[in-house]
Amino acid sequence: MRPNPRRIAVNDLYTALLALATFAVAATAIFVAVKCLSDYGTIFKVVESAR
Amino acid sequence: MSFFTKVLVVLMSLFSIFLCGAVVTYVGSVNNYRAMFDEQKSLNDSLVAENTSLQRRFNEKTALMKELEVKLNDRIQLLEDEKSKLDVELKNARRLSLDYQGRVNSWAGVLTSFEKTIANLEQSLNLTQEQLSNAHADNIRDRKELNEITASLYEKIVQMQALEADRRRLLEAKLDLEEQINQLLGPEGEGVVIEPVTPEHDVARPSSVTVVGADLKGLITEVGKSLVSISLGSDDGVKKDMVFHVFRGDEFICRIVITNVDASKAAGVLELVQDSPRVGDFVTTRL
Repeated sequence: MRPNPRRIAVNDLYTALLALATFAVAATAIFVAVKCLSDYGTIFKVVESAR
Repeated sequence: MSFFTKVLVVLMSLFSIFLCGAVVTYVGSVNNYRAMFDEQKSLNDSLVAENTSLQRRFNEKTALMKELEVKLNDRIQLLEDEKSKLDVELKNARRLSLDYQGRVNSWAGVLTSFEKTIANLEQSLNLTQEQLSNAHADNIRDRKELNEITASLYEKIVQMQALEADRRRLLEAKLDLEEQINQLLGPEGEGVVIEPVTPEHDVARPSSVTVVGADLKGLITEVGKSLVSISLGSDDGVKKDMVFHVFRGDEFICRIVITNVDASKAAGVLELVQDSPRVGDFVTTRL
């Protein structure tokens, strides 16, 4: 049986497109996290009322 | 890579990019609710503090209002009492006013009757004054006539006294003559009565003296130390500096020089005083 040959990208265009999409998602997540941290002091905790 | 896989890769990439852009846009433009919450909280705190302050001031004002209300109620009560008293006084004053008004009306009627009475009395007074004036004029005329009659009476009395003196003198002369005749005739001639040639029918009477205008006669009415008043005045023709002669019987008393003249009497000073004049002595301007 012949060993599995290494998968090679068929087309770099799609790879770049996926990389761009991934970068956009990551940048968006970072931006949202920084924004939440700067405005509310936490990322995941829901701010409660002072009362 | 199949075609379907390529299409899926492209679509998922585009969708994820679009979704990430939408998320970034929303997150970037969304409000900072914490800051707004803090701001609203501070505003709420300030409003609560202001509310507390206003509540405290409201309580203070309420207390003051209650205190003022109590005072005003007391004062209202006092004023009500005073009003009640004043109402009573007003009623009494109105009652007195009506009473006085009734009195005024009655007095007005009395005054009206008094005015009528006074008018009648004034009319009768005028009539009485007119009668008094007439009586006064009659009195002056009668007094003047009385003075003239009195003067003529005194003059006639003086003449009678003079005639009486002549008669006495003649009687004494007659008695002397009879005594001389009796002495000449001797004792035979005693008892001879001499008959007068002319029979004596009556006592001779002096002719009446006509009073002329310039001959004024009157009486002394008052005697002072140096002044005497006579019953003649300017109505009788007496003037200042006229001279009157005073007689008591046929005796000359003094002379009067007139210094003051009134309507019905005159006064003057004495001159050539032989005796003190008395009230009732006869005065005349002729000797």
